[in-house]
Formats: sequence, structure tokens, C-alpha cells
Amino acid sequence: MTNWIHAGPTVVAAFLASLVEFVEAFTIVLAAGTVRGWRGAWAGVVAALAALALIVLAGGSVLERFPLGQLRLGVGILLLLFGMRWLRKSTLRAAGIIALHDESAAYSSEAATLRTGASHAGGFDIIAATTAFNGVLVEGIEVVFIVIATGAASHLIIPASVGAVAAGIVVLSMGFLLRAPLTRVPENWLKFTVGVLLSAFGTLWIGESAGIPWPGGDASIVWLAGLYLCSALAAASWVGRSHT
Amino acid sequence: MSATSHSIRSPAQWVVGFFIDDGMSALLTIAWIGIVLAIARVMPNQAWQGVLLAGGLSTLFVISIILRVRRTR
Repeated sequence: MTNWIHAGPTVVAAFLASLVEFVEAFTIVLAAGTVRGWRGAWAGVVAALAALALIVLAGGSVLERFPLGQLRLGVGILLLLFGMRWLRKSTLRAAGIIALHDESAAYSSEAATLRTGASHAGGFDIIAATTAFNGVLVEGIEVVFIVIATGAASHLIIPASVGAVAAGIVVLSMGFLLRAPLTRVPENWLKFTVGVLLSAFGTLWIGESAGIPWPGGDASIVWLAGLYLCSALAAASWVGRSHT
Repeated sequence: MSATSHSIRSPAQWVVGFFIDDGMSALLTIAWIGIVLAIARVMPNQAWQGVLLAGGLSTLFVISIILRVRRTR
């Protein structure tokens, strides 16, 4: 029986991280479908979803063979790599070192690239299919990784999956209503928050795998997240001041 | 990671980029994790092991920011 209060940080991390990935995948598919045609774009989406299902099935059976300690170490290291990458990028964006992500600009750039491809005569468009396939597969792998990483090491795969599916429903609903790139999603702050959470989870699992006792037990995820939050805010402030 | 870069890169190229191209290399990060973990495990006071591990890994984050800023300049 899942304790949903205990699973709260896992659901939130999976939801927010998946939200970012779904928005990026949606932008790519929207550009491919609008510029090159929806038949090819949908074919790419379906093929990518089938590939993702195979990856989940294969990955799940492989993960079951690992002892929990090794699984936590591997997942912890990957979470830390992934989380710090997002946190570093969003911190540098907050400090003004690199440009903020602009979903509208990403869409325009993607659409311009797609228009340069050879035209097709109404039938199946391979460029639309390939673009949608690559976009959905890459973002989808990240969603799968996030769900496994936040859920597998603590037997919380179902809460993590609920978070990811909820994010998918939110993005698809918004996309269906707006039929335009989701430019009002605060992507940088989402990445910042997710970077903090994933780094904290990564640190927690690495310590658990080595048998290190955490002050506060499972609740230590709170002070670990606070530590990364303070580090990132201090770094953004310091970098921002020294940059101007 | 922009939408544009994803459509140009294949998933395989993205995986290579993630582990090799992104600022501080993943290998360096893993080496740091190993060093901090080894130091934390030999600390006699168990209560401080977690604190040292968390402090060491958050320091890694700050160092990666400094390295990236210096590279950007």
C-alpha cells in the first residue's frame, strides 16, 4: 500500500520534470505536423511510443536483476548527473550568463529548419516522421529515466508514473486547447526546481547505497533539497553580480 | 536543451553529448562522487558522514558553475 504523503516528493519531482520534457516534445511534434504534415508526424510519434514501450519492458526486466544497493548507487549517480545538469543550466540562465529558453523561438527555429527539407507531394513525409520520432524518443527516454530514477530505488514506481502521466495529460490538454507552442510554461523555474529535487534524490540514494545514515532518515530529502537550493541561489547571485 | 538541437541530433548523439560534452564531464563527476563517498565512509563519527557527503556533492555543483562561467568568458 503506497503512503502518498511519503511519496509526495517523488510525485512532485516526476510531475515537474515530465512537464518540461512533454512541453519540449510537444513543440517538436507541433512544428513537424504544422510544417510538414500531420500524417508523417503522427507516424513518428507512434513509432517513438512503441520504441519507448520496448525500452521500458527491457529496462524493467534488467533492473529487477540488480540488488537494491547497486540499483540505488547507479540510479543515484545518474540522478545527480541529470539533476546537476538541469540545476547548472537554470542557475546560469537565472544569472543571465546564458539566454533563457524561449519555446516560441524554439518552435520558429524548428519550423524554419523543417521548411528547408525537400517538399513532399501530399503523401507520407519522412522528414516529419523522423523529426517527431527523434523528439518524442529523446524526451520520452528522459521521462522514463526520471520515473525509474525517482521511483525504482524506493519502490515508488507507481506514484512516479502517476506524476509523469498527469504531466502528459496537462501538456496534451493545454496543447489541444491552444494549438500553439506552450510559451507561458515557466520552463527555467521548473528546471531549477526539478534540478534541486533530482540532485537531492541522487545524493540520498548514493548515501543509502553506501550505508551512510542520514540525519532525519527519509525526511532528510527536505534538508538536502534546501542545501542544493541555497547553493544554487547563492551561485546565481554571485555569478550574476560578478558578470555585470 | 532546445527543441531544435534535439531534432538535429539523433538519440544516440544525445546520449554521447550528455556524458561527454556537457561542461564538467560525467567521468570527473563520478570520480568526485567516489572520493567524497570514500572519505565519508571512513569518518569515525557516523552522524557526520551524511553531512560530509551532502557538503561534498553540493560543492561539486558550485565548482561546476564556476568552471562553466570561466569557460563562457
